[in-house]
Amino acid sequence: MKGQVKETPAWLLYAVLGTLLLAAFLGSVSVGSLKFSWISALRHPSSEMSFVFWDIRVPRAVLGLLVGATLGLAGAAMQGFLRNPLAEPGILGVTGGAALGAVTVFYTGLVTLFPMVLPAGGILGAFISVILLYLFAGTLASVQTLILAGVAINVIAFAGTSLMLNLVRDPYAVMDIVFWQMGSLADRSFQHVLLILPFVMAGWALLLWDGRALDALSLGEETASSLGISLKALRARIILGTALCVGASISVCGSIGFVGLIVPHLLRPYVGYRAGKLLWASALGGAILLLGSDIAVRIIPSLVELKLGVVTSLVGAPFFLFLLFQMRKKIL
Amino acid sequence: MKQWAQSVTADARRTGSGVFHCSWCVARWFLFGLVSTCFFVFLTVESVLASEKVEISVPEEKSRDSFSGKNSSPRRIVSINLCTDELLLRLVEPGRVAALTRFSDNADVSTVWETAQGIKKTELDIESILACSPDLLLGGRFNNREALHFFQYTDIPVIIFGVPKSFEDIYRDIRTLAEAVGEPEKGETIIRQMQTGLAELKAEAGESRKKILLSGATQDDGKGNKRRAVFFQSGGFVPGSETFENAIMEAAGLENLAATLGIKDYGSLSLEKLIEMKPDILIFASDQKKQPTVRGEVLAHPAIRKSLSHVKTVTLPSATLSCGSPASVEAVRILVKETAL
Repeated sequence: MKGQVKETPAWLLYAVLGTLLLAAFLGSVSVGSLKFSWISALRHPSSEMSFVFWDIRVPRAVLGLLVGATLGLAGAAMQGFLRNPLAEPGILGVTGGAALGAVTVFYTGLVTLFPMVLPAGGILGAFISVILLYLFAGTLASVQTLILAGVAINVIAFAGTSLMLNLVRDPYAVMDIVFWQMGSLADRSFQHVLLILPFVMAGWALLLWDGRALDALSLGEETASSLGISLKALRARIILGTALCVGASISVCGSIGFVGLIVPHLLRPYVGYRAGKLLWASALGGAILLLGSDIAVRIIPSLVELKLGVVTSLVGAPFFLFLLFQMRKKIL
Repeated sequence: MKQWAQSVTADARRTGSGVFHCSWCVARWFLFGLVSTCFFVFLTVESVLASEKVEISVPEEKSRDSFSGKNSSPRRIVSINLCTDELLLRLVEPGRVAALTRFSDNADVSTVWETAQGIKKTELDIESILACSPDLLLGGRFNNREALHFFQYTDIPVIIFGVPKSFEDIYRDIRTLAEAVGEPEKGETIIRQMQTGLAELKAEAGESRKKILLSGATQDDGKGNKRRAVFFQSGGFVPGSETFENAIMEAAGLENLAATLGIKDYGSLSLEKLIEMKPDILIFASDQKKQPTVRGEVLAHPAIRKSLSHVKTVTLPSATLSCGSPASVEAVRILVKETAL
């Protein structure tokens, strides 16, 4: 800030993030109530260890990687596009909308007819909330307009989710609110991974495509237009990409908040405050953070396994407050 | 670009000297402190008074005397718990029942749904119960505490049943209710039927266990020859010792693995632990298999199918599990039949 912005060399940044990601992934497949090393699970196929490894731990870690990267990437893209440091899928109600969409198709039994409906429902919910957000707040809204719009969407989505679960015939379905509000990667399987993989990949492609456009946009809309960036196309790609990857992710693991807020903020100094480069770094960072939180969930002793969203919120909410505190001059 | 980034993290400059920079602010904080102190004092006094009040009044005893003292036979009985619905309909003729819960004629959860047809169903709030003008109110410990609490202060006798943890508890509940409605003989008959049923099933389970041991289908590891079962429920919950499900499993001659692990009441068992324990029998409840819920997805996890493919699975109808009643013997019967070789 006072001096000039120092930018970490790209190779160093990606090497560090890559190493951390690898460590987090290996940590995630090694932690659980059954004690064995992943090497011995690979050596003894069709033992009970390898079943646990391949059918419980690996899908869990892969899902953590996909969802974490999605949330980090979506957070960075939204912050870049809205040029607003508090933009994040969770705070702005995109994950809430996705959860509502997923709950709607899950508990009406549509999902038993055709499994692809589940991510589709989540994507539709996320899409609707992004559109609503855009209608409420527009691209250049002030911080408080955006946050208020997010609060409103979140409340609507939560009420809708609770209503859906209350209407279900099963009296215990209401307990599932915890899952949809707090998120969890526990006991997911490769079915879930395969279900969301195509959508997540498509969403990533749409968002990662926008690196240069976001760089240009950070100079202002006129400058970006004069540099040949079509703002309409950019907007469409961001909205569609966010809805696709966030919606699909949330539909199998519930709302997980604050990952998209923390990660871009922590990494921004290391990419020289460049919105485009931040996309890749945030994707890696998000995956690391979520895998790390998922390890913490399993290590912290408790009667029932903690929910993943609890851990990310415990870390993220104070961070959010801290950001607000720093910006209070601008907001008030 | 640089500018924007700076505005994000740059420190905002402070003006004034914190919250006490004017006299009005000081007064405001003082007032706030005063009000909150008063609030906490009030709260403390209130809670002390409330705890004393509870110690003085014993309305439960009062109502208990009122029905057992004079050997009356109530004619407008209202039940606001599915389990008391079931016991009641087995003990008295439907004409004496004023109202039941709306679950009582649902064949998925109730075992007396045929008898319950045509009897009035009540909502579970105080007003709806009053509208039935009951002369005996039956409820469970864990639902509608407010309504039951209210009626404990009225002249209407109230009986509250706990959740049974063994067949002895079920017999005790049946006796209590039979006495209250003036049908003690009928109650004893039902209990005798249950006891003989359980004794037969025990013998049957012993027979099949011997057969299994002879055929060598299960490894005799010296820890007794009972087969090890887990009642795996939504969200990885398992009933441990001192639960009703445990009583059913033991009556069917099975060892409850969760109880062996030291789980008391209900606990959670991770999927990994379940696979590590290698149970001989996996028990599910039918409604949890049928209804799609997120918590129920773990029951169909591919890891169970792959690594526990040899394990016998039994799905018990939920209606036989929802309450401790004569239908519980039916659950034991299904378990014994299904686990026999």
